[in-house]
Amino acid sequence: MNRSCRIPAFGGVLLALLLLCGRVEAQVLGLSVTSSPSPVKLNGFVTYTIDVTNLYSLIPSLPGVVVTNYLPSDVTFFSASSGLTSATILTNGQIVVFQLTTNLFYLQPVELSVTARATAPGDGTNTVTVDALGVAESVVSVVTTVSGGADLGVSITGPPPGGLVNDWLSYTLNVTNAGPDSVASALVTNSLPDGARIISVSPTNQSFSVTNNLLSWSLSTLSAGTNVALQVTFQPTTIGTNLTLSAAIQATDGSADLRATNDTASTTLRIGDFLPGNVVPQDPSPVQLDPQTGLMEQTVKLLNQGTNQIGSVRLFVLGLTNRLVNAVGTNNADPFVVYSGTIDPGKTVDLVLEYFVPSRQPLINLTFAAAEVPPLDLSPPTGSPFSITLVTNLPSGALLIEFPSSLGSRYSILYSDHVSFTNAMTAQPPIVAPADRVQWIDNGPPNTVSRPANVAARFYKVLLNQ
Amino acid sequence: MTVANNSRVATVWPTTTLPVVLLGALALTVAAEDQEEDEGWTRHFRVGMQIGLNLKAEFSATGQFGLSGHPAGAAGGGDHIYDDGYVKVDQTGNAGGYTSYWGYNSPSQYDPVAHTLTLHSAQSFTYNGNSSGKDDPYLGLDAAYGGQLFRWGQAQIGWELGFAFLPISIQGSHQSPSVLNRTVQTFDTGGIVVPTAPYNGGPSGLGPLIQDNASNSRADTVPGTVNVTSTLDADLYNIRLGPTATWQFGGRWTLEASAGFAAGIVAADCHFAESIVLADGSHAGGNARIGATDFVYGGYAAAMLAYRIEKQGDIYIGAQFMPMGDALVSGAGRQARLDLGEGVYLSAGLHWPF
Repeated sequence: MNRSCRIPAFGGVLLALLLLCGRVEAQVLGLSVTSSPSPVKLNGFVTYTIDVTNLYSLIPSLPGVVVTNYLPSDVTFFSASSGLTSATILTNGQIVVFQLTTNLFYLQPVELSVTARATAPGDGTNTVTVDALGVAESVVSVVTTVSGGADLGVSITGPPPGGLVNDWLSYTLNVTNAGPDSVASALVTNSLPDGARIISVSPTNQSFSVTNNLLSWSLSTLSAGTNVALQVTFQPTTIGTNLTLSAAIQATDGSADLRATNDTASTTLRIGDFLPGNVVPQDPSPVQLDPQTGLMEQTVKLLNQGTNQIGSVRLFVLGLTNRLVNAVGTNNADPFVVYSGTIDPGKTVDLVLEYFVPSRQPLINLTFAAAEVPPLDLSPPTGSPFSITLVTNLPSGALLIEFPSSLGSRYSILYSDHVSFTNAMTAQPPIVAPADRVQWIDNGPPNTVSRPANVAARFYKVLLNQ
Repeated sequence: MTVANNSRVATVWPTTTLPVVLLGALALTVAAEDQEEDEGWTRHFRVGMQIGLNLKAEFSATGQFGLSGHPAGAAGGGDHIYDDGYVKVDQTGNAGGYTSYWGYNSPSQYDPVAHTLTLHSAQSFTYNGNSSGKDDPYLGLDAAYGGQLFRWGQAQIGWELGFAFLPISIQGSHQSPSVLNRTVQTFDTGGIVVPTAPYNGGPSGLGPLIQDNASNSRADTVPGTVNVTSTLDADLYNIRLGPTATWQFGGRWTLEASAGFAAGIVAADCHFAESIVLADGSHAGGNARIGATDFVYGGYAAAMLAYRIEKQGDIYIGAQFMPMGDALVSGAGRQARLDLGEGVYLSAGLHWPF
């Protein structure tokens, strides 16, 4: 750092005057410094404004004024300005020096500024000194708080594995702000595999945009501790084993993100194809109301027309406008049930379809399709066991179990042909309780792999899904 | 009612604050100058708290009484709510004549042979019973204003007009045999396996369905026991007017006796909470409320003792016996009677002669 001071030619007289000024040293140079904004966000800019004034009338024109600004460690120098004042500006790391090249006239203030970038959270003190030969140094300082920023993050839950081309698959983007600060605005982007069709996005009150395969949400005001769930249902139209679903988040209000490692997420999708088995639906029965369940029921046969055993089959109901209650998925807008057993060549299996029809009138002219698919994962989920209070055979050969429930809660039924529940399987799909007691009927496929009347024994458990 | 004697009633402080007042009076007495025996006052006014004692109420009911919660008739399409279940409209609008929105309480309501579910709604009940209650003391307000007619030394003959307000609440309870009149409706459950009782079906349209139209509707009567809790809330406003006889003694003490005519207005409201238990354990119940304003009259006899604590400032305690007629609240077979015939009223407060 260079520091210069010029002594005028009539130095002795002036020096005497300066010595005289020394007895009023605190009053010669007025000095103040302010910072804006305060507090300043991490990675934002702060400007220190320095005002220097010659307050001593006996030296109406004060030469050799030097202003030195010592920046705190939590900011990094960006720029400096002497405004309308002529000065030489020198910098060295955190130190900025203004050497005024004109005299400082009595009561004519000079404004200087230093701009820095906030690089670390916390409180920092910016100190300014002003010197002139023979004049006591003035010192002022200002404390500026650099706010800590926010830890934004995004993760992906789902979709479930085993999806096939044109299945409607759902996943959730979990957006979080772990604080400490809130974020006024953030952008979440979600890249889908090529060719994917977006079926639905929720919540519906959160606007989004779509450009090619990129979904974007502009989120406002993510407070510290906030969790936002964005759910997307899409239809993959391409088959592949390494299709990527990714998401990213960034603050758009200038806030600093304290942790970059959780700002992106991705998952690899394996989208399979249907298998070549030759299976056809046939002989659909009339649709009839079952007062035991409140559902309209229909039996459809699946025939293996091929020469090989078929392992697992989807039965689609085409163009249905009501709800297929025992559907386990949707493909290309058509709901489907899955038969998880095997069908030998030339053999048939009956599937009971259950529809919820508010009018309780029979549906007519339904059309169906079937396709062999990879086996469904029927392994038991986790959950708390519930006691079954009634088990009874129905005249149809089906079996009814009853258990107490909470209205709206979701339950899974486990079944096994062994009392020890080895090789237990999960009935499809899970049940949402419509009352304070649930009556669930084992009609055989597709809910279970076989009718209970066709096995020696069957045992059941009920789990409350977690 | 004949007045026993001629006496003047004074208002007194409430007994709960009386010890505090007396202590304060004692302190003032120590500092006060000795009073002149007679300062020639001809008027007086006093106000204080009053405690009512010996007030009773009798409750009675005879006849048939209605209950709310009628079912919506045998026809389907409406919400039927019973004492032991419900059959309501589900989200399909009971399409096909079925509903999922039903429930019942007891296994005895389901007949597995006839495949019917029976639900009951109590329409009315009859009983004849009475009770009484006495929940004193009651706290109120008493004030009086009076004047002098004649004077002989330390004795005076005068008159006094008094006013009092006393809120009263009395409760009584009893148990009586009762006969419950019910509407009984039966619903066809078809061949479904009826869920175990108690069962509360939801409105979604999913789950076991029953017909929403009662296949049978009839009336029946069943015996039971009714538990009745009666509460009488009354405000007693009374005035009294009569001659007074006053004797001052000991420089600071005043003894007064009075008697005369008393009249009052009773604004009363009575609530009957009736709960019926049937032999099969089921319940029904209802609430009834009656109100009335009644005029009562009688007489009073009172005594008052005052102590001068400063010039024109006394504290006093008093007692009144004020028998008046009964106040009656009745309606639709129910009745409450407030017995004021043996009312005793204690009072304490401040008294100003001037």
